[in-house]
Amino acid sequence: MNELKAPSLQSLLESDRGSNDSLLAESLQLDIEDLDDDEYSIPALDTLPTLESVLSELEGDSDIASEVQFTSATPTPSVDESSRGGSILRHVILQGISSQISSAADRINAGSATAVAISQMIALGTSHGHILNFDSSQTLRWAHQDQTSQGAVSALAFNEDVTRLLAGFARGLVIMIDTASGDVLRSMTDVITPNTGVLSIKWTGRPALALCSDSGGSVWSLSFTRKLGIRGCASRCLFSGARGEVCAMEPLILEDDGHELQNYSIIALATLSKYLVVTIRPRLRVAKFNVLDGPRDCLPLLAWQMVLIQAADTSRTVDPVLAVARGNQLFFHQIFINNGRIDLLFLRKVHLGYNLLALHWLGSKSIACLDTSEMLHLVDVRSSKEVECVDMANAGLVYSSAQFKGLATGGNVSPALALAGTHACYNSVASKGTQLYILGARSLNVVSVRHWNERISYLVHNHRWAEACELALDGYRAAGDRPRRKQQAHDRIVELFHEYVSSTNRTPEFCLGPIMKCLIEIGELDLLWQELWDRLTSPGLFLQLITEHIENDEIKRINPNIAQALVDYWANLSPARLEDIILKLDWTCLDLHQVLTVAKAKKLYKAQIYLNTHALSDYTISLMEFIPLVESESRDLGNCLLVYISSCLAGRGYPAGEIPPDQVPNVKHDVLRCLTSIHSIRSDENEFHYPYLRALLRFDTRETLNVISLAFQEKEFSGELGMSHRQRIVNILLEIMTSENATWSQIGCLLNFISQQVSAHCLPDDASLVERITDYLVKENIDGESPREHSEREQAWLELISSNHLSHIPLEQQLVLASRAKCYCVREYLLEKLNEYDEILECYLNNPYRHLEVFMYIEQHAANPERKIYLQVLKNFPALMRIDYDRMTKIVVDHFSEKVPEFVRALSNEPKLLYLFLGQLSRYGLALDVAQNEKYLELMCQENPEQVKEFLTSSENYRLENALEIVTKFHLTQCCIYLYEKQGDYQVAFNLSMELLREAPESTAETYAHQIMLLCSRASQVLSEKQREDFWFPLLTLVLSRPDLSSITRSALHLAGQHVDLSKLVQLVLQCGTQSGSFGDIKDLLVGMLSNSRYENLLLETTARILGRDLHNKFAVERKAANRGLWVTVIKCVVCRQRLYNQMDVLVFGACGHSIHQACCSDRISKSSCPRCGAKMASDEPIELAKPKLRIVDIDSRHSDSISSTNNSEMLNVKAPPRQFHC
Amino acid sequence: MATTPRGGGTAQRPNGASQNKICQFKLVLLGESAVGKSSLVLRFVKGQFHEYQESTIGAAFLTQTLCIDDTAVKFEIWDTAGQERYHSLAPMYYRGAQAAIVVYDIQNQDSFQRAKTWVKELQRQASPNIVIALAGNKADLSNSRVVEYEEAKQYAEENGLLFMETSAKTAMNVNDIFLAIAKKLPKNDGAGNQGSGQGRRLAEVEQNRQTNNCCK
Repeated sequence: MNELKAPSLQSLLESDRGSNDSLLAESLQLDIEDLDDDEYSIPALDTLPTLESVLSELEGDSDIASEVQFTSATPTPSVDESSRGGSILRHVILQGISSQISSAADRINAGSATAVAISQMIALGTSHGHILNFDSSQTLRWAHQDQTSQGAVSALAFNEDVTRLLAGFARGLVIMIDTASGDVLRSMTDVITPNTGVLSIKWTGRPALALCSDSGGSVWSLSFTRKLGIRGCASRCLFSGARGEVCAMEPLILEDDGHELQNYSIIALATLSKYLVVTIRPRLRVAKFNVLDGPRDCLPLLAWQMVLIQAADTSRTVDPVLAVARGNQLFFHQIFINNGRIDLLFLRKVHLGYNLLALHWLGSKSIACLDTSEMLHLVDVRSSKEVECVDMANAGLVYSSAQFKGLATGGNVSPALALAGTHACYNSVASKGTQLYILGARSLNVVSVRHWNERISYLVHNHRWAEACELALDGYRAAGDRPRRKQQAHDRIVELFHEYVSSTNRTPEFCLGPIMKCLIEIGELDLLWQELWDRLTSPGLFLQLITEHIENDEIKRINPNIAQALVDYWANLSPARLEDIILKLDWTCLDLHQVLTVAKAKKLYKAQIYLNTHALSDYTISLMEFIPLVESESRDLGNCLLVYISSCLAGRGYPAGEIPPDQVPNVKHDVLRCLTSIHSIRSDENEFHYPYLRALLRFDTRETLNVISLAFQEKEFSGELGMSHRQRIVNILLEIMTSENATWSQIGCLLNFISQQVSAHCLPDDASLVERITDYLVKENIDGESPREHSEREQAWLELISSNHLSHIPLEQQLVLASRAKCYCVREYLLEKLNEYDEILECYLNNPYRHLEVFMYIEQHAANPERKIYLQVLKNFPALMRIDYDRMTKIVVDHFSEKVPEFVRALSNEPKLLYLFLGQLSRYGLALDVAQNEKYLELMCQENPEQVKEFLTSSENYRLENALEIVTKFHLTQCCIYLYEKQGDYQVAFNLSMELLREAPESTAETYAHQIMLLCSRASQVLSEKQREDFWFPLLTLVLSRPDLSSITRSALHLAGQHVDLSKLVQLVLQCGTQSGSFGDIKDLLVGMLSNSRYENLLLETTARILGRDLHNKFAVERKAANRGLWVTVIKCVVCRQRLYNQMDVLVFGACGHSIHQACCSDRISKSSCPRCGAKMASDEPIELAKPKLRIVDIDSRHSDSISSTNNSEMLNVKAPPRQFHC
Repeated sequence: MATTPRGGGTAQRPNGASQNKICQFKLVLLGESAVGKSSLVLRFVKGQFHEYQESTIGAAFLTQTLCIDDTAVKFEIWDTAGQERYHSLAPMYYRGAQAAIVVYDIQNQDSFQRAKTWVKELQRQASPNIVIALAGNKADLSNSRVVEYEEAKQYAEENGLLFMETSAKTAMNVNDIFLAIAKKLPKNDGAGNQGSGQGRRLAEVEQNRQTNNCCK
């Protein structure tokens, strides 16, 4: 409280001027619940306090604790559900504080803001050492000025109960201030490394223990003492900067008393290379550490948060989660106690698209990431997705680079720290609950996360109804099965609805859909029917929307009022849709009179049936009304009725559902009685008996009978009584279906039906009935019988046989009848029964629908001699081949491979089939004999001449002469040429080819010419010089003379050049050239020849030069090696251990310097390596190393040899003792 | 279920809103076929009369609102079909109804007897607080009357029914009988809801915002 006075009334007013209701409200959200509110049963606050209430509160006292009750705790399905932008983050500038910063800078030269601390108070430090303290209403409580020129305030921290403020300065001073009065309680100058500045200060969870890190990178614990009333402070180095400079530290503060980590004091530290979790109480110990890499100019960031963690086994714990980040990497770790030790569990790693500047949790579900371009990203932790992004560049964020560079203490910091410190803003960005405070040089910005509720209000305020509804519904859905939360969400939606109603009075249809969706989903249908409906000017949109919801099965009941409107609306627009709606709606909300009238008028039969059965419980009226219409109306009605009858008789509801069980017997009985009633209600005299059944049978006999046969399976038709029911119905059917008023195929259907019933023993045995059926079955020809009906007839017959109802007719007679009636299945069955297998195959072949089955039959029984398959197959072989030649051939290959000649013979009149047969045979790998192969060749010439050549090249199994004969017969010149060449008769082949070429049109001439060239070059290898010329020259003459072959002239000449004398060739070329008058054609050839010769000359020259140089080099190397000196390092021979220089010749090995007497050099000793150490001799010149390099001769002979040794370099004479020679 | 609009929604309602309450009631018409149920309703709702009213299928639905003092009473009227085969439908409609009008034809003794059985059925099966009115229709044809006024009146009194002789053709007593029912029905949701669980007070305008706040 020095220069600045306690806030005057004027300053209070000033500070209020810029703020508004929401701002104050903002500043009051001091203690924001981090954890899931529902878990902790925190009551919801619906409305924010008003300006008045806050002001009156402020006047009363300065006790901040009393304001804490204004916590904002609303149900927060919050940010995680959606990524709809623009409504989540709210950015506000705290005008009161900002204007105080400005005025402090202007009036008392406080400098710009450098650090901020947020708790229930807000403290600001400035670059000239001032500290300003504000309460939650942005009122300046006190100001403090440092008088000892300690430089800027570099760090600030409030303790847990906001009674003490610790402030660190750039020159190393740490002071403690009483927050209530602003008095300095302790002033500590020597608690950190001397001559360093304070980088950050944090209180731990313990009341008298704080941590302080300095610009030397060390971390100090400050424990405050008060002995005998004298305040003191003991500082202790926890982490020395010498072991790595700590940039960031973050103590874990547990607010929840019950947590198992309560007994520990835990801090997270981060250096430029790693991060550590350290316990300082009960004893100092590093719990875990991990490596942390990142860009060199990015600082590590740490943030703790209590998070509800749901494990895989659905157990839920609330544990602290540490977020660690550097650069663009973000890690999450859970900390917990594992077997009595603190353990760090890696949860997740997130790669961000930007480098981080600051990292703060905003609530337990989201984390705020400020990137180096000062964009603030809100990231949802669970999904790792960015939810919203706000540009904070305008805030003018304060960086504490000066402190990190140690400018106030003379720059005595490490270069790494100074570089990383360019992006330091540990003390200018702070978070509190779901609010993030960003300190600008002259302003304080708050970014807060809107709750679900606030977001809805925000959207409502901006009239973004669709988004608001969507968000509200998201919240409602997210509430899941938690009733309390669901109720809150429900209430909010109702409130939203009323807001909507009151603000869209003039435009009642604006955003109707989303609102309706909301109401329907939360089940507030009454609001829909009343308030929303009553205010509409035109109901069209509403009705359409309602219809969609009905069609999606979201609502079953609607208000009868609206149902009436809906029916009227769709009756005109789309009756089909109306029918759908009626079927989906609960009938009790419909005006039956209206609906049935409309349905009748619009012919909505299904709807009528539905209402008749469900509402009126009358199952017969529909039949009586609609069956007479069956023939005049569309087929749909008939099908619909058949399905209806079928489901009634089966006890099921129509179009869906079940008939109530107690009604089922009655319904079945009524429906059946109605169907079989002799006369309709309004019958006239001309009416036939059984009008209903008759109409249905006439409509679709087969399906009607199907319905009846399905009904016969019900239990009503079993037993004695059921049997008589069946008998009665069958009698009625027979009575209706007489030949006068039904076609034969309809009667056929009926008889098939009856025979099925008879064979299943579902009808009492009745000889006359069977007689009647049999008559029908054996009919030879029935007009207009479809294949399906025919097969049904056969089926019926077979069933009768197997149920022994035809035992009175001998099988042989039936056989005759069956073949007469073309019932081949029956015939086959009978043949099988009589063990007469000879003709079974024919039964298959005669029935075009069973052609493919014949192969299965053959394959199945091929091995069975009784069946005489082979004979039958042979007999019908052409027919079978025609059905499927591939399959048939396969069968032949598999089962009758030795009978191939017979099959071939069987096909002798069918060249096409024979060709296919032989082709398939060879494809299936069956070797054909020579005669067959030639036959095949001949057939191929007829059927498929293109493939002949390919066949000739691939197959060897034919006689050349015969093949030639065949091919010549069919004038396949190409093949002839091939065969002649194969025979070795090149001349004929050549002549033929030339002929072909001469006659060939332009398009193919080139290919032909090419072929002849290849032929010639093949022939040239066996022919004499003269013959070669005879081949080549006519060809070339022809080629050169034809302009259309000019493109291959050159390759022809080249090929020819390999086989004939070049000079003659040139002559020919010149001759032809003059003939054709064009030098251009052969110019290329001549130029090519010239350049070729020039190239070869050059090549020769170069080779000679290279050889010469190689030789020279070799020689130089040799010479150098010979001149090299050697150094003998031993005085004894390594072999005999005698003195070396006892006037004997000495061998010196290469670089190792070991030597032996020449006399000792026996065969056992390899001369290429040292016997002592194995060193290779003079390994750089491996070629010349067969011999030892140096021989030392005795002194007497030295003079005589010296001249020669210098000259020839082979030997060098040295005198003992040895020394090193330099050459 | 009463829905109470909360907070800001009601505060911003247009000033024109009066102290009106809207009450909604479900009313069902019962009686033998061709006694004039549909005609009665048609007269009440639309003020029309058709000499040859077609017979109702199943049931028909209409609404009409009456004003009594400062309360709007909205009737949701289910006009059931009188034919015997639709009898099984009736419980669907009178279950949950707050009022019923049982109609008979004064020219037809059978219809009066049928009305009595309807009354009995209602007393037995419908909600205990249901308001039942007995209407002797076709009073314009009193010269061929069979059911005496006194007889019916006495019966109605014995059974605690509202009673009027009406005529859809001349509109005699038509509005009156509905009005009488409306008056007899409980308007405050307390009594109405406890009984039937169906009386709905839709909107109660003018709620004090202060009180809304301070209950939190």
